[in-house]
Amino acid sequence: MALKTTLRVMVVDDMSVSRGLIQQALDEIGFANVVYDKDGASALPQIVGSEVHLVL
Amino acid sequence: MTAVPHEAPEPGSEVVAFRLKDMDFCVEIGLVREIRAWTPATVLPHVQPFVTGVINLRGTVVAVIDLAARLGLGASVPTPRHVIIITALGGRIVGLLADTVSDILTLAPEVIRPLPDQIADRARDFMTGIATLPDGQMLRLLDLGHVVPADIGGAG
Repeated sequence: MALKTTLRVMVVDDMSVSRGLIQQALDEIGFANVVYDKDGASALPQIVGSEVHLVL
Repeated sequence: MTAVPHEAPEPGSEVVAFRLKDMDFCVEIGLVREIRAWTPATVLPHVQPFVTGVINLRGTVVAVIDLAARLGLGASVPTPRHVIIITALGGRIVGLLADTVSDILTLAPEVIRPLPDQIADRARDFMTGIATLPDGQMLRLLDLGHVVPADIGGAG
């Protein structure tokens, strides 16, 4: 249970609807700590700069 | 189109809106698995005219329905800008060919209206209602159960 709230997830997809679908799915299974970005180039500094455990 | 944040509490009222031949449709978000960019489908002989073909979705063979053809709007000519909306209805996975996906919207129950009685039964079969958006736009609510024939999308 704790893993869902502590695990930091980053979702990268260039299509906002696809990000929304993934958000919906992650919400449903209870992942609370999720950040979103629309492309790899801008996501990379965030991944490097902060601790992200899982990138989708 | 009005983008509404989609963390609203009302379950079942979230939809994925998409365009088809300049018309706006939507389908319940719970039925949508993912959106794929158009990749040429493998055409199969003797399939229904509205079946574009099949695609390989990470090892699963998935039928793609030409939604425009299925809805009587004329066949689509797919381009790289088209999308395939991967849907899951029960255990059946089916792709729907659409022009573009536009948004994820939260529809308040009061904006969803039934179709007028004067509309032909066949049209009513394919739609569960019509959503009237604040900007005056009307969004056709697709009845996926009718759009996807029972014999399509079985164990792939």
